[in-house]
Amino acid sequence: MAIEINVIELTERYAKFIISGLTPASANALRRCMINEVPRMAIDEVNFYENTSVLFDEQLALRLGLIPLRADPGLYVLEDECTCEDGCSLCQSTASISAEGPIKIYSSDLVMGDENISVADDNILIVDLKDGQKLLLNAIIKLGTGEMHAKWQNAVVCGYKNIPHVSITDCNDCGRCVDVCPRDVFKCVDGRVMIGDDINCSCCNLCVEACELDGIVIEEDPEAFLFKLETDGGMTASALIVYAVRMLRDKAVRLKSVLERFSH
Amino acid sequence: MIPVRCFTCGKVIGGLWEEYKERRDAGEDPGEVLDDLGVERYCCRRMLLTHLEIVDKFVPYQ
Amino acid sequence: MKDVELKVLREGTNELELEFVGEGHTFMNLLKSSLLEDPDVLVATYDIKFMNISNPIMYLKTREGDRNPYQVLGDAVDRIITKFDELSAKLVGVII
Repeated sequence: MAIEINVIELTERYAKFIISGLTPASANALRRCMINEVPRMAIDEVNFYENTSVLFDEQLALRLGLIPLRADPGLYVLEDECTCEDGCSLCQSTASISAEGPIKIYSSDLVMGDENISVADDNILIVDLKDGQKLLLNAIIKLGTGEMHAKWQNAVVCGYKNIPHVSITDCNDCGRCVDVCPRDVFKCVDGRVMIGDDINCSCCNLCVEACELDGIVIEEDPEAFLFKLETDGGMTASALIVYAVRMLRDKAVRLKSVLERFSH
Repeated sequence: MIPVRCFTCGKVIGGLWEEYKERRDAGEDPGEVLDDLGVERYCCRRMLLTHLEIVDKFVPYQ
Repeated sequence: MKDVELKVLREGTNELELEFVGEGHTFMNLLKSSLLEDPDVLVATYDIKFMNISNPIMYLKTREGDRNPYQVLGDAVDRIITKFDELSAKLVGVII
């Protein structure tokens, strides 16, 4: 079956699209790849030289790590794939903060060691420094994947469902299905019950149970998937999809070349 | 300090707090402000709705 | 990118047991389902014994024929490549 893609909504950080003609395994591989395997940059280690703020070092380090950073993952290599032993400019970069209160430190106050890395959101409050409190730190940014820690997860939300199809085979226009449906799949037009957007159907089967005539059939298309994807700004939604597809393909290509060596 | 991300889903909500607080204190309905800020899921909504700023109460005891 | 590392645990004329170092469900399930599309495949399955620490081990048994298990596996990988090539071609213009 040929693959078809229909985009319903596409913004910088959000995508909603239908892919049809894919096996469930491929759709799941794509979903898992977008969540778990596409690498990205995040602050991983923090050296504190001075911290008299209200937050402990550990809490601050966690807050720093969770700040989404925008960078091309191709610019760096993963730490354990790097040739160096304990960190070099190929696998890590730095960011620093130096401030004295009273001042509010925002994510935009991070001074990046590499101009290709920037924070995705400027207005995240890291810490509120009160009078006389000091903060001096140096953070190390590393590349990682979602399976190591959620801060390296590109897709905040990524999921799919099979496309549902609702059909009415027998109807006396009693309107019970209209009342009972939580997703407003049915609508009443001039006293007649019609099906509106059945793509919103969650297959809860409340309408099937409510129908006296057993006249509602809900089917799911096993090869069409409605994907919803939300990123935190580190990567655009469209770039993430493209990157994940390319990663899966490349992995297959590399396996192929290994297999060729084996079979001779 | 508001957590940087929603505990449950990971959406970045750290940047929304100040606007939310301002508009809530100005008398707007918190639910409508959240809708307006694009905070859709109830896991993210509770992060902002139930947050209490306690830094200023902490500071004298540092 | 790191190379895919394979360890051959068992090798027969019609069967194969492989350890995929560093792989997870993401790719293994895709590979398994692609193998099962082949009518010459009798058994194709994989197991990750202890999650997070074990590597997946794939067991493959094929019908007797002209292709050895490596070629069957190679054909399954080819199907994945063509599928994702088609997908990335379809993305152009719609998503990017």
